[in-house]
Amino acid sequence: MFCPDCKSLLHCYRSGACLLVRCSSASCSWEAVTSFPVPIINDNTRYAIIFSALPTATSAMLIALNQRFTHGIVATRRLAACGELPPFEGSALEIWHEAHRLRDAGISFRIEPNYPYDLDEPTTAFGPPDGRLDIGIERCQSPGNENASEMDLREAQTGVLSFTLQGQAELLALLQAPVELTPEQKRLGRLMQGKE
Amino acid sequence: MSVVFPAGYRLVPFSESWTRRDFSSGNLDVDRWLKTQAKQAVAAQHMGVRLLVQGKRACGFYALKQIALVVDGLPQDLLRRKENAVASATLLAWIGVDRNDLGQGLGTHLLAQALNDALQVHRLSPGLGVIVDALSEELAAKYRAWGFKNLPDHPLRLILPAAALIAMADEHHKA
Repeated sequence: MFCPDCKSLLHCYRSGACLLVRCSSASCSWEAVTSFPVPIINDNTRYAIIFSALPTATSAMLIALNQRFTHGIVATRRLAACGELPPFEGSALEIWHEAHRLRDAGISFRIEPNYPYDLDEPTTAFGPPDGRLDIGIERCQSPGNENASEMDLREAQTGVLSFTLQGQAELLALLQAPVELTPEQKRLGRLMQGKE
Repeated sequence: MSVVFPAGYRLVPFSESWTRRDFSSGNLDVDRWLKTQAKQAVAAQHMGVRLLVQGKRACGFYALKQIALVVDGLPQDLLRRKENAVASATLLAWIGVDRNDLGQGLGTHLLAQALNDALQVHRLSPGLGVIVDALSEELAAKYRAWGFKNLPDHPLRLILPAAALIAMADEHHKA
């Protein structure tokens, strides 16, 4: 992504629920603020936690279950033992918190439909942490141009274009190639001279 | 050395006195930049902008800026700072013609004048050439027809080497 003002590379920063896009050039002040799309908050699917049977539920498990179900300990123990606890339904975010609480208590369960967030990896649900993002960098990578990401970062940091070793060799060859003007270039040359 | 534009058109430095409000090139980015960003870019001395005007109306423009490139192995006379292999180039950052004025070759005239300006800069402070950011592959093909070459590692960026730029300007004198 390039600055619409000065054509330098744009940097993206996350600050909570805000996404700040700012020109990387020190001499340009272009910037824009928009919403940061947090994946789990923008997920409208309703999920359900399905409990497995807990024939040997510990006290900690029963306490954790009883915080969600208000049947009372005796009823909860009986339902848990035969795997008849009703599923807990909620939004992606509610399921995230509930799943962590239940897992910490050692209760086994599954989530339906397929829950796309890794409970051990918060960035899958909440996105990257606050700070600089690499948005717009990865798209520059292509076969034969694997260093584009690093180069674009360097361009953003220094404001200069840089090249891979192969790119440098190609550029040098291109700059040193003998010049043979095409008819279009000759016409452009005549225009430059004001002769056409 | 300057381009002769069709009758009724003239090239002027950017100023607010020319009407830009109705400018429409067909590309929203180009139009928005001229209407909302060009003034700031000129005021901040980020770019040099020239307008093609007819009466009080801006019907075309281009914007140039100097940029730096890091390339190891460049000849010393092209390096801006010897210790880190930095060379300069002129970036043709924006160019556009109003849709109402199409069909007269104004875009090519503007490109020719932009190259004239870049050549003047090159003669004062030698650089690698003129770089353009093509907005699409279709536009990149047009620049390739004018002798621009794909800039390695930078998709949709093209360069007209300084040697070609000089040859184009000298071609007429040889003829």
